[in-house]
Amino acid sequence: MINYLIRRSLQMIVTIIFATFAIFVILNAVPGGPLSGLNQTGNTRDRLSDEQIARIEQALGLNKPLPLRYLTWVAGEDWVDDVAAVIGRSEAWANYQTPRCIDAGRTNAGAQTDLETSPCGRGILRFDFGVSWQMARGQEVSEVIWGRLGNTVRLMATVSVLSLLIALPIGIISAVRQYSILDYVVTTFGFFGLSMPVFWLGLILIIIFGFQFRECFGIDACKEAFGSLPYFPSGGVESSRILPGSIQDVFGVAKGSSFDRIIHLTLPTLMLTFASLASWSRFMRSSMLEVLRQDYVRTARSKGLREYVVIVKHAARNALIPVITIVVFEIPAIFSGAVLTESVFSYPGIGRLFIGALGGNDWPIVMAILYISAILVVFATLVGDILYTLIDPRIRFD
Amino acid sequence: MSVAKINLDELNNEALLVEEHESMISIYWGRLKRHRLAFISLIVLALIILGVAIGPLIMGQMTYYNVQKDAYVNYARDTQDLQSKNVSPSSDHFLGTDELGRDVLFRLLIAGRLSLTISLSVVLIQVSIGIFLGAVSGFYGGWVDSLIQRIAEFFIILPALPLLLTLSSILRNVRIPGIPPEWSQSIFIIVILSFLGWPGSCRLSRGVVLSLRNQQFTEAAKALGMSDLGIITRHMIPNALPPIIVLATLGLGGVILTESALSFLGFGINPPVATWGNMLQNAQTDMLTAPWKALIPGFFILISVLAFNYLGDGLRDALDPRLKL
Repeated sequence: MINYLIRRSLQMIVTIIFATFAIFVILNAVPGGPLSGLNQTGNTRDRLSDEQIARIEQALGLNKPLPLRYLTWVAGEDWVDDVAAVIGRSEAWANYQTPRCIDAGRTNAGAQTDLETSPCGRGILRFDFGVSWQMARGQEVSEVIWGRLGNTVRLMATVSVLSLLIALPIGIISAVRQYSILDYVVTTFGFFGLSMPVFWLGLILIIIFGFQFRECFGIDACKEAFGSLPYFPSGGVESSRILPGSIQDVFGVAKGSSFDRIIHLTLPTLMLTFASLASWSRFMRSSMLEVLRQDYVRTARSKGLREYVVIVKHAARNALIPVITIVVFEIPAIFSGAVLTESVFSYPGIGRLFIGALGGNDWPIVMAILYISAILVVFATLVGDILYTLIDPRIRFD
Repeated sequence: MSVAKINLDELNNEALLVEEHESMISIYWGRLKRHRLAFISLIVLALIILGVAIGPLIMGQMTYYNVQKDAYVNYARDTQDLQSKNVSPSSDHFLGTDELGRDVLFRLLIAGRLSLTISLSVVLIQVSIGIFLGAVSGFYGGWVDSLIQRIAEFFIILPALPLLLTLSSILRNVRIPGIPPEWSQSIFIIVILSFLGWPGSCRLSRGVVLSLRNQQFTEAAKALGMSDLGIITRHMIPNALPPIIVLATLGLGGVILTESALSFLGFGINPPVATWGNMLQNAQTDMLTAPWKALIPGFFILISVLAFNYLGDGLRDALDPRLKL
């Protein structure tokens, strides 16, 4: 067990190093780069001189050769001058640190404990993801991500819990009553869930519960009687003002209260739950079918145990084993996932941050999110494998 | 108990029949036809493919009255008509118009061409890479196997959607010289999607080859002096095909979904070139006044992906009932 853990952890580290390498190469090896537009603007007065561009490049740390840029991204820049002195390149490398770092005397000494105030970049290995270039110019990337994390975690955690609570019983029942009407409905529903573009489902939800509810589906009698049905907000985390006739208005929910937030979460949650419900209930069903065919289930039945006990205690427990590994994979999804949901519902979470950073060439944010999700995926795989072996003694560490 | 009389001729005939290659296919065909939904899906897919192939050609012969130009204009020109933006379905525009007054039906059909071509090419490329690498990996074993499998694992472990978005956001501005920009966009999307998607079929074909490697017919082929490449292409890959075909069919739907999601987010194929995904992108702003723009392309995505999934399900039952995919 210990050997296995050590070997897997080493593998994990190697994979993460490869991943950082891949992330860096993808973003930086393509010709052009984030500044390529600056000296090509049509208006000559807006065009930046080469000198100005060189200054920007130095401030962003883009003036270094690629390998050195990779190393400073990973390990920080406070060591660059020391290394330059050792290999006798002090002069050539003089500009290879950011102005902020040079002004502070090219070292983080005296600011060791505080990430925010350390003038030199410390690198992702020391949890410093640098400073945002565009989305929140000048702000620490870790702060920006931290600010959005809460929204994403709230959304994804709700979805995960909700869809597990629904999907597992559904999967079990449809396996126990295989070929019943319920089973048929569940399988069809599962296929639809797998084939449905989630963002489209989101659009439809907004059309129905946001717009058509407000317009009473265009039915005059309904309009005269109610004005509008209590409609849902079409996006955001909380309302800036309560619209007349909206669901918050009808139930007297104050703007910005936690109920307001819950109401905003409803449609995104519905959309994502539908998507994961389909695959999880299918998975649980097939796993349960497999187990129900086993001899020990027949033994349990022939011992005269009640059907409920056989199914819940003997079959369902074992059928959960493969499902658990799939669920563990939800950990990284909580962080990076929901890109589509967050865009459809303009919900300010990590997913939308990522899209915005990509569109605005804000590479420190892009690289940070990619790096963190790579770590989470690797970690989730490890946890999944370990759980698998712990739960099922038949699987040996090897 | 009486022993049934055995008709030797009949048995011989049956044995002969089974040995023939065509009859294997007709057995599969028979099984597929019994899976009703898969069979319906096959028909639906055939209709969609026929529609997107022929539809634009027919519309190329037809004209409609363009208000802005005050003239009859050919559908196939995909002309804007700012005087009739977001018009609801009418006899001129069967599925209405979009925010620039273009005919939604025509755009839907050419978008379908592009989406289906992309998903077909992606699946073909990733399956060819996967099946070959998997066969090599399983056949040789040893360090070749570990190397290929580690690479495949690395690709599986990469966070897929963020990585896809990153790759396409970087590559969509790169132009391949000598090709129209919309083509180089599609080519990059195809390359990116197949580049990230091969490990699935690689693992599958490796598994099949591992089980075949030590069987007698492989030894016989070796003893007869067949080259490794010959054994892999003639004996290993054909045996790995049935499960891979199932995986590929299911993959077709997946690629359509991924491509449309990328285009929807603005990181796939950019307008004015139409794909089902980017037609939904602008639909969001006019969702309240022109809901058909959001409903129709999404419906086509749903139907074609659903059909591919059911077909894949049916093919699995027909080709390899014990396969778990």
